[in-house]
Amino acid sequence: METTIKKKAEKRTIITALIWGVTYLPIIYLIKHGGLDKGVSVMLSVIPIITFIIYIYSYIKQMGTLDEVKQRIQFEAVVIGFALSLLLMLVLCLLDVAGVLNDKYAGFAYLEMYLMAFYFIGLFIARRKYIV
Amino acid sequence: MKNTIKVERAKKNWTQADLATHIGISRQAVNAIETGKFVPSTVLALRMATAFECTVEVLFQLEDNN
Repeated sequence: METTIKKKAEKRTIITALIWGVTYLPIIYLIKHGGLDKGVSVMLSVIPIITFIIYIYSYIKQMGTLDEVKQRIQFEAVVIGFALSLLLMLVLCLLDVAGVLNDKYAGFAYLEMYLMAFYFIGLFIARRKYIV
Repeated sequence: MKNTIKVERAKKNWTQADLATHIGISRQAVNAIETGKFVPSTVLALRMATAFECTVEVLFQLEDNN
């Protein structure tokens, strides 16, 4: 029974993540290269935001079904990810103040990827700590 | 914190996966607890003790540095 709930929650999280990916990437492409009106672009950008909120909601609900060790791993992954994100922001802020920040590598699209990468780095470190 | 989970498992002839099924956690979690990498909550410790039909004190003991 408990395993079924866990599997269902896991499946729901994977599906919502896929839905987010499927809506996000084409819409980014469309907004960037589609030559759309600004109003339409803004309207379109709401779609991946909604799918992401649904994904995050499923992810948080899934956390509740995990056992203590896996919850601790997720917690530490987020803590490490958050600390690295703050560090990155600090570095970018200092570079910006110094006037040497290259926007080419510090745009919001890149930041998003960095933050995700930081979470996965945190997950890798936390998993190594608890799971052999 | 040291524990006697491995000994108690051996008495029952259970694998880590068997114990995990009995107390409703993952095998990796059992391994993390058994190797002392993770200290379980009171609820989980009590569930383990129930599964092994012993007391929590038999399963977990404080060490001098605790």
